[in-house]
Amino acid sequence: MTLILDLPEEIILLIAEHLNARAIYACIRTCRSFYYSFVPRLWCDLNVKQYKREPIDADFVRDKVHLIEAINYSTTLTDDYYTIIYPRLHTLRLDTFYADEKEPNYLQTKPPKKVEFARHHPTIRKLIYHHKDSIPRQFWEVIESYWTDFESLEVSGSVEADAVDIFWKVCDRLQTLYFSDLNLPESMPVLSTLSFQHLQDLRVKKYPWHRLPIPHRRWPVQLLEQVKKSERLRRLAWDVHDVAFPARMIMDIFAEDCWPNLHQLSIGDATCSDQDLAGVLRAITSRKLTAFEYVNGKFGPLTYKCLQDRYFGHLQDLNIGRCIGVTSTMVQEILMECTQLIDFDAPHVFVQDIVQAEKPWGCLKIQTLVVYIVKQPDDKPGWDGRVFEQISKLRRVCRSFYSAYIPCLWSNVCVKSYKGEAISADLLRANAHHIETLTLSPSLTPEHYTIVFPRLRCIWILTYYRDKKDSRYLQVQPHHMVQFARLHSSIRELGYDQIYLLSKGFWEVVESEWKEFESLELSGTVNEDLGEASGRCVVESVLFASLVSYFPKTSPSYRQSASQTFRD
Amino acid sequence: MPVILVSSDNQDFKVDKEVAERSILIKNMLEDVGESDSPIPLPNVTAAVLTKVIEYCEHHRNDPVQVPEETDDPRKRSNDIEEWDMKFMQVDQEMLFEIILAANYLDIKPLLDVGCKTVANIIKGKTPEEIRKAFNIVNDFTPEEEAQIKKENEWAEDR
Repeated sequence: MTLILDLPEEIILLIAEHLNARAIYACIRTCRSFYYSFVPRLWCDLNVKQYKREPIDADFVRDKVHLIEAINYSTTLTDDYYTIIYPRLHTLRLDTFYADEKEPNYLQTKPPKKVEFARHHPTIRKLIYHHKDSIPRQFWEVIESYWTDFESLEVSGSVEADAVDIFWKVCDRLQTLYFSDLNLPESMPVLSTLSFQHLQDLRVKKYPWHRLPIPHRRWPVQLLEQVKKSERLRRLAWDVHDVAFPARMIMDIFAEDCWPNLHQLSIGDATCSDQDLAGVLRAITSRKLTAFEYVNGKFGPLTYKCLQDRYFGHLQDLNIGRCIGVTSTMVQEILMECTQLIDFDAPHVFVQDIVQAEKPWGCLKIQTLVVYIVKQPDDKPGWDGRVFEQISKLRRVCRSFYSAYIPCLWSNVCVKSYKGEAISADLLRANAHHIETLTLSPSLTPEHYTIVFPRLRCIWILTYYRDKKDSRYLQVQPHHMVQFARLHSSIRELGYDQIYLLSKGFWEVVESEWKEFESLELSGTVNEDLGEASGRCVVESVLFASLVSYFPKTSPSYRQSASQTFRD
Repeated sequence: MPVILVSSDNQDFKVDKEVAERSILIKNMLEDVGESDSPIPLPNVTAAVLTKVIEYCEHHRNDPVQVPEETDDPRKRSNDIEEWDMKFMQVDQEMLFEIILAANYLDIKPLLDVGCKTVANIIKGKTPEEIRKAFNIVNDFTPEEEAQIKKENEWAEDR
């Protein structure tokens, strides 16, 4: 009889790949054999201190150093952690969480300790540096002389004026460079002597909310000029909010037949003209583009035409979901013609265009599809079924956000997706009687919250980062939510990540009128005066995300139901 | 052209070449041997298991061949199992492990993946005691060892 313990170690490791830390922790406590098979997986990639959690004890980490290949150190760890030596370390991540900045021990470990740490880890191949201290010259010197296998650098923050030369020298021999919000001083003396001959992947990003001053804006352009001779460059990403994408320069570079291996291009620049963008795409030396992303810009007909003429047969990743100017007809054509697509992100496609197209979608390899399938008032009955049939042919889809379609168009609706435009209140109202599961966002208009959904069973209210920049963000007030609760006593499940919007009045309505309510998922911050009211809800299953720290302030019955779920 | 596979208990299985070549092991063998109609012995696979494996290969005969991924592409890492595969994997545990071992031996990567995901799905959400029960495992830790393991790895519980 074959038992699980008869499986060879390599297969156990394959199984472990599909398990999270918690499941692996359960496995290692079952028996010795499992312990030895699974424990390396638990420790090989270690996040020493997670957001809002206590760090793992330094001595425990010290005991397991031989298993650790990748680690993440947040900014709040003590010096003690920087004295640990990991003989097999290949990836070092120094991450920052927003909340860390308020901790008393924020950045308590000073750069010299980090320099020492770097010196003791010559095996590192990949460094991700997001601590917001400035990296001293010695740090780069250590990398330059000790890290012989170093190949990938992701860095944000500042490079000191006296370290610029050594910084570029380090960069010069790498395969991957990812500068996000990197701040460089004015002088760049050595850049002109560099060749970047190993470079395969170059990403330069700077986001508008980046608070540091920008003393030197020309370096990204100079860098591109310098990278021109990199024969191995496969991917180029440019999203620098205050420096225009140098389309003309890139065209010239392609005109010299440089970057023969460039297959992946990502551009974030609202000012790039359709003509320039199309010009760049037309000029690509490799004549092959497998990934194209254009963010925040206007996607014009010339660009589309160029993609269609040259690259539809090659494209595997196409992300135009955050562009304006993408029409439903374009999206339908892409879905029909791009047979190699794996990942596709687009704003919307009309049901009408899918149903009336001359042939079915050809993108049968697609795994991730993010697109709004929009129903219009004059759609014919029976079209839903045909769209659903079309979608069900995409057998490989594992992530999708066309959720409006399962099991039929309007039963489950996300009113505003991460990137898309919201479905209008009128359109939503016209279809309200179909809707059983609804996902709303706090950047919808109050009008959206006045619609009555007679069959509503499950309501989700989710906030995305982008929502907070939306001018409509939180136009919805607590009293709208109370009204909403009163109109929807049929709700069984509620998921909400902005519970400060839920006033005491809301919970009172829930308690007295939501007779079938059985499942609640919450995160966010509770106003203290709400605890009492929410505690009296009859809730059978509760799943808390970040609410843990608020239990003590809520009533005992609440804590009990929560802890039951945790036990399960 | 059909290929004849012979199980460890000497049963012959006649299958299309296209189906047999879902197994990289067999594909390589056929390439090495060239044109030949001699049967291929599979001494590590019983007839019962081979029947299941062939059933899988028949169903997936037209799938595109998986190319080895260039980089550590997270797109490959999905825990979802296709519906047909899920039903196919509804077998007793002994057969499940035998299929996994056969897939490993015959080098049928997608089948190996589905098998491993199936085992992972059994493990998920269970306590150590429930895992022992599910797989007939005997707890061979001393209480001291148990306490030590708990102490050192407890952090994993809330991740």
